[in-house]
Amino acid sequence: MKTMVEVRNLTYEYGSQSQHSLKIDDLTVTAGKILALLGPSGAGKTTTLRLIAGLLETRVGSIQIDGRDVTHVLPERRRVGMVFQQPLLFPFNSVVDNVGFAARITGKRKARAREEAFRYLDLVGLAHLSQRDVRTLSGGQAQRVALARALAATPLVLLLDEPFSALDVDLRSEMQEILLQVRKALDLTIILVTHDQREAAILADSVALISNGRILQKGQISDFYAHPSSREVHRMMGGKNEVAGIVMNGEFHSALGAMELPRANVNGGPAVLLLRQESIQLESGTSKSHRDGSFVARVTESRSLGARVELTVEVRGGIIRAEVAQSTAPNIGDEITLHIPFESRWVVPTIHETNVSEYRFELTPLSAALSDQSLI
Amino acid sequence: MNQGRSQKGPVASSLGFFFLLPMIPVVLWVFANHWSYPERLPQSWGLHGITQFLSEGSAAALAKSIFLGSMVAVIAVPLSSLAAASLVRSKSVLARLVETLIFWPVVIPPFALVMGLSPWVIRLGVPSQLAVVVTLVVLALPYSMFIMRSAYARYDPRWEEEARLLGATRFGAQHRVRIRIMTRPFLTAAAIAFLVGWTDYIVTLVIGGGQLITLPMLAASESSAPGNDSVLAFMSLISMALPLIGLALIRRNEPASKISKNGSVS
Repeated sequence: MKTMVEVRNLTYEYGSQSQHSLKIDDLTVTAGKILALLGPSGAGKTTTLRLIAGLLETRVGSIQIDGRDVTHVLPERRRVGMVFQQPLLFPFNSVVDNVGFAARITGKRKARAREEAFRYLDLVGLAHLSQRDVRTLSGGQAQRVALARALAATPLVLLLDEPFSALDVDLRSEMQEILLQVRKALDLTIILVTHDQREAAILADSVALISNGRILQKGQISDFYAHPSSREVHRMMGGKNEVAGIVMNGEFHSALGAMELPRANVNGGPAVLLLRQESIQLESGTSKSHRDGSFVARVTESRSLGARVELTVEVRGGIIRAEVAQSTAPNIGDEITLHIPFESRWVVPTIHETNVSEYRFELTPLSAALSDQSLI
Repeated sequence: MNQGRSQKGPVASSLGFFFLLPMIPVVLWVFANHWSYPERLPQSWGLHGITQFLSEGSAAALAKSIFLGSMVAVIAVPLSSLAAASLVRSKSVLARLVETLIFWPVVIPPFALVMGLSPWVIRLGVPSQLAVVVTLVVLALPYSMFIMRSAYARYDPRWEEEARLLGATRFGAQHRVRIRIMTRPFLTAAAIAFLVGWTDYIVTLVIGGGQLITLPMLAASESSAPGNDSVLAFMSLISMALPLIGLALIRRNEPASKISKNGSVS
């Protein structure tokens, strides 16, 4: 597979006053694929896009587009298109002239530029609004024109900086559908910045999770949920349960007890069990609590999430959160069996983490848990 | 929505009527050689007012007024544009202080400002015509500054970034985007600054020391003597015409032309 964008050893300092910096060791995007840069506000997503676009100067590191080193190339010569959160349509131009702007820059005559613009307006389904004053467009229409305008410049890479975040849910879904159609039609390489996990899951072929100027994990978004590389990734993806313990002989030992692990991603030593709240199974009664990964628990709180319910469950003096369907949710005060399915047991080492008291799940202090298991 | 639209017509008509009503006698006076009360229309028609205007050296006063207004606009607009551009970006206390100082002339009555400045101009030996221009620039700055500051506050530099990503060079982006977007507020600020110089009487009289005869000065002296109604009417008409022409030119700077589906321009 051909690599379209390649970022290597990139460092960007936000200024002498700022303590923050962006550091990307390796980021590649395959031709024709969509990469989502997922992360919270201030993570460095937009800065990464702006560096790739050439709108910010790269002092350390290199950026290649289609095999060409563009690190010090001017933005207008990188063949990169960009759609911002705001459409930023030129108010002095009509819809069609906005889309034909790139063609006019290359010296094409107005009529020719407009002819070409109609093709891209057709692509986003707005040819019928070609004559409109851009100030009369709705938010969704304006963003579609902005997309058509960026596409009309025939970029090698399209950068999308949270382009749909200002739109309402229905309009966002519509725009996502249009983007997928456009990608299919033009075989475009796209880098999408978003803080919306759902959007990243719908649109992206691969995802890079970014926080505090560092890429924490790259790959399939499903892996971020099931196999987070760190506690931080787990939290960013909405994971709510962390159990401190230790890995020995393929088992995880904690205040919950010993549990067999499905794969040896941690050879041994201090570790934390990262549990998705959706993966936890709750069964009424306590008869099955003797199984591996099963514990007697009691429901202490219940919070509606709409179709589902988030339950707070007390187990062995600590707290675990579970998310179940409304119809199967036990009542507050019920004695139940909490089961952690074998495939859902994912641990990460805590060898570099010193403050274990930060763990969200604190049954008993870690040392007590370990001594309970006669491990120390 | 429809109700709002249907009310627009009568409101616009009423406003138009309100502004046009006083213009009717002015226009009639321009072409009246003689019109005395209580006649409803002039008793004799002619171009006496226009010929008197031209023979009394009013053309020179008109030229000086145009020059004065233009000088004020030419100096005040770039100054206010530069100040507005930096003040919009800055959040420092010093910037707010500078802003307050620029807007200060709006608070002080022009007469007080002029009386305060006049002794300085005389003692420092500043040429009176230069002093008039500088004072009028100070008076025009708050208005042109207000327009330019609003324009810069609305201006998103990412428009230029987008233009560059669409292939424009740095200069091209400035030329094709910034200048086009800022032209209208720039012209509006220039028109306002021009009007400050064009309509001024007090500064020209006191600071100018009577050496600079502009149209308002001439109009004031003509109005103090009887029998000059027709020439005064012509002066009034000229005074209005120039700003209206300016306004029409600014309105012409509207975006978006009509385009047909096949891409041809109309």
